Amino acid sequence: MGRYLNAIFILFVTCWICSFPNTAMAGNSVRTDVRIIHASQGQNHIDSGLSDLAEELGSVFKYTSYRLIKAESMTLNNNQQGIVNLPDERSLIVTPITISKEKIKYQINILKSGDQIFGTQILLKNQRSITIGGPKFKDGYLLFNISGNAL
Amino acid sequence: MGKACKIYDEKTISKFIDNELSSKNIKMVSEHIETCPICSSIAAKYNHLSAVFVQSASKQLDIIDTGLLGQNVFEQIKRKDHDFFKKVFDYFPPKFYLKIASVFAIMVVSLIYFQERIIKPTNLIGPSAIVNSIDGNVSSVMIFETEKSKQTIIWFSEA
Repeated sequence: MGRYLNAIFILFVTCWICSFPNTAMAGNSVRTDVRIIHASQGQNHIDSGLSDLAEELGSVFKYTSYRLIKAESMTLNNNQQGIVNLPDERSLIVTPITISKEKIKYQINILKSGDQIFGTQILLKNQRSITIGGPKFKDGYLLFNISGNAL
Repeated sequence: MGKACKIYDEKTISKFIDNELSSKNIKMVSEHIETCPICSSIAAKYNHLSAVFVQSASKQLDIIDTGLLGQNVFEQIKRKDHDFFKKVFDYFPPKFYLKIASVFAIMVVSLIYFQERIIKPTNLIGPSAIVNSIDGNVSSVMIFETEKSKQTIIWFSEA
């Protein structure tokens, strides 16, 4: 009885300690999710894939319609480029420069017909996202939501 | 109380009988009583009163067994405490309670250490991104964050 009690005790303590957030160092790759969104003043519409974003964007922008044009998920290593093709001969290039458990440094470039029209370097918090906009597209604008999850 | 004689009053004589004077004064008063009839009679009166009191008190003490009384009181106190703890702590062996206390202590220390990560992970506090640099063929750039989740938004206008 005493031995079983000891074993249960040790098992419980071990599980308790392991249940806390994993503070181990992140590896050298990051899962990068990119969502290309068309925002416009048209009829009220929010695509199901944007339910987490719509409220936040709605608090900042005056647009009533948010449509998900494209969603891509890439696992990128340090300095590996991730390219997402956009409408109107545009392309989005996302490159993680440094990856840590807390922050990911990204170089983000938007090109049109091969020429860079916008470039930014950001420090994105792990498991958070950033939204960049707005090249004109049809009767609205394009938004790029980029999120990073260090692996 | 007035003066017993010109030298000592009744209060002093009373203190002498009760052995409450300093040794020097006791000797002086004692020598005076032997020569002063007034002080001598007052001393005798106080002595008698003292004897009567002691005798009466002794009789009462003989009736009450103070040793047994004290013993009964202690046993009652002990029994009350023992009954309460007996019910709670004799149910499991002491080692069990020690383990429970250890687990509880570990949980408390862990909660204190990790409380911020449990309640609010650090990466959810503040803006989601910091913008280090911006360049490109743009006419204007705006950077702001959403109210609720503090998500960073960069808005640019093409030139």
